[in-house]
Parts: sequence; structure tokens; C-alpha cells
Amino acid sequence: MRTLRLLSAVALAVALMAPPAARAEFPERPITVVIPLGAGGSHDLHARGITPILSEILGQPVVVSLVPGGAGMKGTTQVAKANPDGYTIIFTHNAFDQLTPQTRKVEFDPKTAFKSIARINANEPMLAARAGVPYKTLAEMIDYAKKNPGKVNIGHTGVWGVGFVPTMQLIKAAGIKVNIIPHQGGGPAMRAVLAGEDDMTFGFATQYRPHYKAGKLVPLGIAGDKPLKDDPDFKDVKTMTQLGFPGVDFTMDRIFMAPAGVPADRLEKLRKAFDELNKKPAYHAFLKNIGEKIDYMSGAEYDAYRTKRMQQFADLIKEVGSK
Amino acid sequence: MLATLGQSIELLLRWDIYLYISAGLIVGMFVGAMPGLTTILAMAVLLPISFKLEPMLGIPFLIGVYKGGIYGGSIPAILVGIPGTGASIATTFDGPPLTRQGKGRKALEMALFASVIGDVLSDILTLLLIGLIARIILLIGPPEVFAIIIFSLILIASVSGESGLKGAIAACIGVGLGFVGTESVDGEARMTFGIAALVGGIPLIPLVIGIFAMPEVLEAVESRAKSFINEAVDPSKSGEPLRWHEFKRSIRTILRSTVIGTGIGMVPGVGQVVAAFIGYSAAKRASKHPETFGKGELDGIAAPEAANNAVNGPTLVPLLTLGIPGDNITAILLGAFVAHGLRPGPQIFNEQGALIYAILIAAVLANILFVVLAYLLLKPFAKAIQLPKAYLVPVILALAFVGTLSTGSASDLGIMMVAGICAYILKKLRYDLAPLIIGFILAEPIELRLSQSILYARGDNLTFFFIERPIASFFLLAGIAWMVGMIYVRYRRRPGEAMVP
Repeated sequence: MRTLRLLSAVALAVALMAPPAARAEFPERPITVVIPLGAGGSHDLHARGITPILSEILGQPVVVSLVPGGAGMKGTTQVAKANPDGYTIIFTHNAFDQLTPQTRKVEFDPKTAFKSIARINANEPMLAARAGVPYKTLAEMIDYAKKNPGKVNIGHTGVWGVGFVPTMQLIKAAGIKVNIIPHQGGGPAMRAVLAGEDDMTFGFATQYRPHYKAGKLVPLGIAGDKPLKDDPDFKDVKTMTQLGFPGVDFTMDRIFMAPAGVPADRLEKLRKAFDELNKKPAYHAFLKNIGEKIDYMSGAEYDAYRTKRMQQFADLIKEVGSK
Repeated sequence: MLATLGQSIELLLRWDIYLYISAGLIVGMFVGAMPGLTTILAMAVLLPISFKLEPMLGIPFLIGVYKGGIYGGSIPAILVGIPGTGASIATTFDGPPLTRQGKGRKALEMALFASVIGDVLSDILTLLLIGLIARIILLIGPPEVFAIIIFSLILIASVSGESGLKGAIAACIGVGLGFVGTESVDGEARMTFGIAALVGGIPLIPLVIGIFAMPEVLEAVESRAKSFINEAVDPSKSGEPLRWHEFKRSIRTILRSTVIGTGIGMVPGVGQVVAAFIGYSAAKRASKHPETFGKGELDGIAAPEAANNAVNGPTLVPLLTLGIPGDNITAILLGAFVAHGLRPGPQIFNEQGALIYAILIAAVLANILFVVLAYLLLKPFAKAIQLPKAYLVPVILALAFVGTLSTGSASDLGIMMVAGICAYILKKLRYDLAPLIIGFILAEPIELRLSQSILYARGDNLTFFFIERPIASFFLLAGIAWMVGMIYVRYRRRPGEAMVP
């Protein structure tokens, strides 16, 4: 009896003292992906396709946790303050990551709180008007807005959101006076255009496609300088640069990030997993199904790009914020 | 059209579709019945499974989870007064009194039949009138939504509890709590008192659990009775099923609520919660014995349950015809459609008509399956409530904590407990808590829709609301008329007399 007790005590001590050799292999428990956005949006949709494949690569379940609210800052703060062990990461976009935190008081330093894991893809928003407005091109619209100050309604996806920035850039560059209407996301902004409440909005090609085909939308221009060359429906739409407004330039990056303190080997492992994800045919098939493209950028590349963008956004806020 | 329908019916002649729907219904019902676990969460978790299935299985499976979840939310609402979802808050008026009278099973079954009838009729109406509904939905913009919400709040405050005034005060407290956190237009944080947990606003789930579960638990401890069911009730009679003559009396109420629910389903975002209350207040007004409402009236179960399920049909319309989801649940369905390569929008009925009609018909058939499944599954729930309180109260309390933690953080537990203690005090002061939570839920849309409307009005608000937007004007004037009517009734009757709005 006594020997038994002694043996079990020794066994216990050994078990407790054993170096966590078997546990050293990251990841050894499920990984949580926080999305600072609501259910059913494009990030949610992307994540539903990405996480099952990522689970196979990492050998651990990857679980999505939706934490919307506070203009994206609730979920962002949660990850910024999470234990940087690599088990909590965030799937967000560049406006929430690099722009919004500079416009208000937040509890983390946006410049140093995160390390990029990967950029999945990027989209340039497109300005489109409802059919039935008395203009067919950007120049005609600007002309009309100048003759009827305050009569044109432009909807956007929310203050400092993805549709807000190009809207403000265009209004400034064109020197027009319009009525700016906020909505909560791209869906409601789209509805308002189709209902005839708003005259135009900035949105994305996948969202516009069915309505454009039905003749309900008139595309006016794509933000930035990259035309949608491969798009069957929108390949001829001019970019804002081509139309003489190079300042109307915004790209939404869909990015995975980790809290900055994550050990280098774990970060490397996560980045490698995404490199591998990007090679999987199942992943490409999923993106094709949801009508999205691939603009992969590795974490290290995006980190360099991100620092540059942050400074540009700081200038942008000054420019847009001053009326 | 007929050829398309023929093809749809061919698609439906497979037994495995019904197997998946049944699985969805059962999962949904159990998740819905757990306070804190929402239907939305269940659908989001199960969405990847539906990706792996073909569309004819995956989408009906998700619709099953949704329908099961909405009904599941009514189970704790009826038995212990804790709504599992926002849609079942109005069911807490008459559910617990019926349970105490030993009629818990009758109430659960009435809720089941009313839900299913409301849902089926509204689905059929939607299928027949889809073109018309799609056009009406585009007419309901920010000023209309604002006016309808204000009208509903007035109605909700007036039907709840003993005094319309206390209902109105509770609703205003709720709206005030709803303003805490990030402002809906400019996104600035306000009224957070520097508490980080409040920046995103007071989270709904801990608030609902705190407000409904905690007072219930405290009151159960306070009263020394051994069981939730009154001791005067003959135990052999408790747990009896619903009889035909009892159901027959509520048919008119169910039909009325179905029409109300289908109408309100066209208002984006706020549909189910508001529909349930308006259905309830309409039933109370039309009843020959309105004084029995709130004291254990089967009509008071039938009315909100039929109305909140009748919302389901029209909420699918913006998703299918515009490709724009009206709420979180249809947003998840959009995810399922798109992942299967189906892009809802103006052309989907031309391109994929047979499949879409087949999915819609499967949604209707899901209801019939649900009657059978739920009828069999209800008994244990109704039986469980007969257990002594000494076992039930700790279980409810544990569920309240687990439910709060399952979707939130530790700070949510604090919010739940503070809300619970405040709610207990308010309840002791004879305030009704349902208008409070409704006010809380509607605060954000009120602010957003009003801000948008003012921007559209370009400085001339009165002309905009009352002349340019006739639908908005109708609801605002109806709300004012209702309030004037209530005040008139209150002053004509002597104080102390029961007031029936």
C-alpha cells in the first residue's frame, strides 16, 4: 500500500516536472479567429470557407468568433489585449486596422499592437448610380451636382468605413455639395440606392453584378487606378485616375493579424499555414463560388506595406476631416 | 411557371431532405431553448456543414435550425418566464401564469400550433405575392421604419402591465440604456463612464438573461412554495395536452396575428420582436375578456407566437429579390446561397427558379415535420417544470451564468448581475420589464433611422415626415391618436379601476 502511494506520488511529480516537450508543438489546442464584424457579411463568408481548410493544415480546429460593435473597435481591442500566444488571431480589414483607431481614443497603439499573418485579397470600391438619374457618367454627375447643390444623395457604409473614404475624397476633389447619408454596411446602402432614396454609393462588383445585369445600376467609376480587366461585366468601367480624380483612391484589404507579442516561431507557423492555404485548389474554388478574387500578400510583405499605409491614412484623416 | 413548379416537386422527392430538415429542427429547438445560446450563433456554427452538402440539403437544413430555434426560444419563456430569443419576450406575459396553473403543456402546444400556422400561411402569402411585397419593401425607407418603431413602442408600453405610464417609463429606461456605447452614426463612444466593456454598448444577451432570469430566480426563492406550479392545482390535471375546443377559440387570433406579422415582416430589422407585441395587443383589444390577458390566457400565447413566425415569409423577400439580407439570420442564409453558387437577386427566379421554389416549398414542409417532432419532444420539457423548485432553481441559475459566459466575456457576468438586481427592484415596484428590453433593442434603429431621415429631409423635417412620406405620417399620427385615446380612457375611469387600453 505504502509503495503504491509512493509510486503514485513519484509518477505525479514526474508528470508535473516533465518538460512540456510534447506540448511544444504549436498549435496544440483550437485557434480562435475574432472577426470584428457582424454575421453574414463578406468577412464572415470568407472565414467560413477559410477556417475548415486552415484546420486541416494546422491540425487543430480553427473557430470563428464574431465580435461586432464599436465601429469595429470592440473585437480589435479584444485581440490587441489578448494573450499573445498565437491562439487568438483577428480577421479584419484595413479601415478597422489602420484608419479607425487613428480617429478616436483606443486602448492600444495601432502602430505596434499587431503583426500581419496574411492578406487574403483586396477590392477597390466602385461608384454606381441608380438607373433613372439624369446622368450617365461621372462628369455629367458632377455637372448636375454643381447645378443642384445639396440635391444629390450619396449613401455610404458608415463613418470611416470602406465606402466613406472614397465618397469624401470625391466630394472634395470635385468640389460638389451633396447630401451624405450613413448606413450600417454595404447591404443597407445598396438597398437605399435600389429604392431610389439614395442616388449613388460606393460598393463592390460582386454586390452590384445582379442589379447591373437587371439594368438597375449605372457604374460611374472605380476608386484608384486598377480597372477590373478580367471582370465579365465591369471590365470597361473607367477608374477614378482615368477620369481625372487620382485622389479618389481606396482599397479594402482583407487581412489576418496576430497580437504583436506572439513568439516568432508561432507567427512563422501561422504565416506558413496561410502560404499553404493559398495553394489549395479547394480554397480557390470557394473564392470563385463567392465571386471574390485572390490578391495574396504574405504577412511580412503586408507588415511593410501597412506601416506606409498608416502614415497615408493619418494624412487622409486630416484632409477629409477638415471641411 | 407550372413547368418550373413541376421540376421543383421532382427535386423534393427525396427522403434525405427531410432527414436533414428534422436534424436542423431538433438542433435549433434545443439551442433556442437555452438562454444565451442564440439561433444566430447556432446557424453561424452550422453554416460550414451546410457548405459541404448540396444546396437542396444544406439550405433546408439551415432553415430547419432557424425555425426550430425561434420556437425553442418560446419554451423557457412559457415555463419560467425567460425568453430564449427577443421574439419570445411577449410570450412571457401569459406563459408563466399558465404554467403556474398547471397548463404549461397546453401553452407549449398552443405556441407550437400558432407558430406553425402563422409561418405556413405567411410563407404561402409570400410565395403568391412576392412581386408585390418586393415593391412594398422598397417603399419602406428610414422615415417609415422610424415611424413604425415609434408607433410600436407606444403600443407596447400601453398594453403591458397595469399602467400604461409605468410601461412608458420602462420603455424610456430601455431606450436610454440602448444609447450607452458607440453612437450608431458617427461611431463615437458615449455614456460609457470610462468602462471598456461598455464601449460596444451593453450586450443584449447578459441584459436579457439578467432582466428575466434573475428576478424569476429571486422570486422563486422568496416564495416558500415547493414547486413552480400552484399547490392548489390538482397534480393529476397538470401536464394535460391542449384540447380541440381550447384551440378552436384562438383560431381568429392566430389568423389576425398572421396578417399583422406578414405586414410587419416587410419592415427591415425589427420584425419579429415588434410583430409579437402588436399581435398581442391586437388580440387583447379584440378579446371579449381583455382582463384575463397577462393572468394566463391561451390567446395571449397564440397571438405573439403566430405573429412572430409570420414575419419569416416576407423577411426572405429582400434576400431573394434584391440579394440584400434584412437581418442577421437571412444574412447567414445569403452566405449559404452564395457558397453554393446561387446568387440571390433580381434574376434568380429566371436562372434557378426550380431550385429556389423547391427550397421555399421545403421550408413550408419543414413546418409540418416540426409539428410532429416538437409534439413528441415537448412532453419532457413540460414534465421538467413539475420538479421541485429545490432542483429547478439552481439549474436555471447555472444556465443563466453558462448562457452569459458562452457567448461573452467575464465582464458580461457583471452586467448580467447588475441588470438582474435592478430588474428585481423594478419588478417589486410593479414595473413591467418587457417594454424596457424592447426599448433597449429598438434604441439603435430609432437613432439611426431618425438621423438618416433628417439628412434626407434637408432641413424641412415636418414637410418630409408628414407630407412627402405618407406611410410614415400615417404611423406617427396613429401613435399620437393612440396616446390621446389612452389618456382619455384613463381620466374617464376613476383611478383604481382596471384600465383597458
